Amino acid sequence: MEDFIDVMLRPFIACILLTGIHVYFGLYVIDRGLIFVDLAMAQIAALGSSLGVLLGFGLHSTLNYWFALGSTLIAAVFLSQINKKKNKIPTEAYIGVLYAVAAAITILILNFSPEGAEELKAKAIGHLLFVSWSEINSIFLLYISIGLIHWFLVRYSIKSQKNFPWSSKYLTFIFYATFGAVVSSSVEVGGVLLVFAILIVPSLCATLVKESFKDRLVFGWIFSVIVCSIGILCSYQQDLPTGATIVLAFGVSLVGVHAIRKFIFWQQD
Amino acid sequence: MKQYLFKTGLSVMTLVFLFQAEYAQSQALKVVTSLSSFADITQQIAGNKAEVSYIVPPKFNPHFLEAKPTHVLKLKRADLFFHTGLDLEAWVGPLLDAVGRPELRAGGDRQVDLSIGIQLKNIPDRNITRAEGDIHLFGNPHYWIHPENGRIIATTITTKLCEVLNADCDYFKENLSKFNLSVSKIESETKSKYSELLGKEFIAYHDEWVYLADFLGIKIQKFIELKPGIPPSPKSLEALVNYIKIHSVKGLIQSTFYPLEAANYLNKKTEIKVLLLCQNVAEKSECSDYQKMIAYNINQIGATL
Repeated sequence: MEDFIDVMLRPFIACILLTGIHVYFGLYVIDRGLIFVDLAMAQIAALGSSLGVLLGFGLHSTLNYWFALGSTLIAAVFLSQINKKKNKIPTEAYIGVLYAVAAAITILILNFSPEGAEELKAKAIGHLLFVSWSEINSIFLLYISIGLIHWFLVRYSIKSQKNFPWSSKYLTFIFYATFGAVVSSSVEVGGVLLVFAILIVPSLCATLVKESFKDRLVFGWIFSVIVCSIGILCSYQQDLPTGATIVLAFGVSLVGVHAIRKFIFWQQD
Repeated sequence: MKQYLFKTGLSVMTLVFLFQAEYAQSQALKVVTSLSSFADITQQIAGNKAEVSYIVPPKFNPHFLEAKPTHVLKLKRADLFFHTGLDLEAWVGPLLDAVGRPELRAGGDRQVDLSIGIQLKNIPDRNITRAEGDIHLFGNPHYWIHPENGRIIATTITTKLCEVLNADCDYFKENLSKFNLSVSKIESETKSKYSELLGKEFIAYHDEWVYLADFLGIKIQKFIELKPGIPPSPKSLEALVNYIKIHSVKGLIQSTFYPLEAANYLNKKTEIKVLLLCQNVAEKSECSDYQKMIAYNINQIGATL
């Protein structure tokens, strides 16, 4: 037990922090029907980071992080310009193209980088098991700051009688910019796949079973922490890569929630 | 009743024996090495006085490691850590951060950088950047492939084991002599058998055979990788096809963990012999220990004559 805590405490705390901010963002992402915006943002962060690697800034260095952040801010400007109501084409189509192009550029960049294929793989799976306390402190401070910005902006939106926060172009930009900042840091720690799973699966399950935003948020947080704990436990017990095991746990849990929901409806019928 | 007592007594004795065996094993020195080749050499020297394990699976590129909880646990419990040193194992730093034992870090008294005492090759004589590929700042780190370096590594390991378990030092030294003798035997036998290899030209996927090339006197000047760590382009492969034809290259050497597409392409175009050699013990079944690995690699190259 002592060994388990010793090895898995940091990944677990990192998972709780990722849960805190991503489930919140995930609810908006699902509400807006922009499911793949996270994958696109994560891929763009990976693109910026790869560019940094190519220019000689180590994968986990501060300068490399600024490359990732800068790329996501550019993407935020692009995404905030797409007006869902005025556009005939679904925003998801643009997001899909953004993802594919970003992934292709990343592959091209890493083609010129030593051991590029391995760097690409590292971006997908992150380094959750080796996450350090200083990284945990950094993401904690970042997520708290972004959480506070959102809290104030949501309050302002509600006070100014707007139906939905983040409705104007400027607020949409702030939404995507802060989202980009979160994703850049999260991908660094958890990898593209884990960040996507924590963002979408708990929010999806919460949307299936709860009605109000507050209820969905609380459900999503509890659900995500439970699934992360199961994933971490399985990773330790079976000696499997931690990030990938948690992603699998999220996949299984989504199937479970659907099955339970079907069963309950079937019982009621 | 007697039969029952006899059976119970036998069971208890078996349990006590198993418990003692388990206890004895847990009392053994726990040595963790980065590579399977170092683990094999350590096991041959330490015998039953140490419980040896390695981190990087032999069929994987040692530059990278898929992090798993056991890696952290192994090093948390390790009495000694033997690693390649230089800058081969990029994962060692983050792993040791997670382990949190300063004595296992560079300069710590529970770790040994096995590159100490090795005459390194390909040390860059100017400032280099990543744009030039995955060039190692301190020299080529694939040094354990050379039999002479194998003996140096074994001596370094023995010195450390003697320092930690002084009472068993004679036993370790005896095992070192046996190890050195067996490696020297392979060295002398193969060197005379394959003397005709001297000056013959080979190509390789990655620049990781320089020490073996030095031992056999063969030349490896061209690589499938454009630059170290950077995969080939269509043009570079075409250039290699011409090079192989013009220079009558005897064979293409690569480890099992690198992609085979480029090698197969060159084989199809030029009929060059593709030699999948072992970088580490247990990478292939023929390389089940250090001596067998050395002999296998040399014999495969020798067979191209």
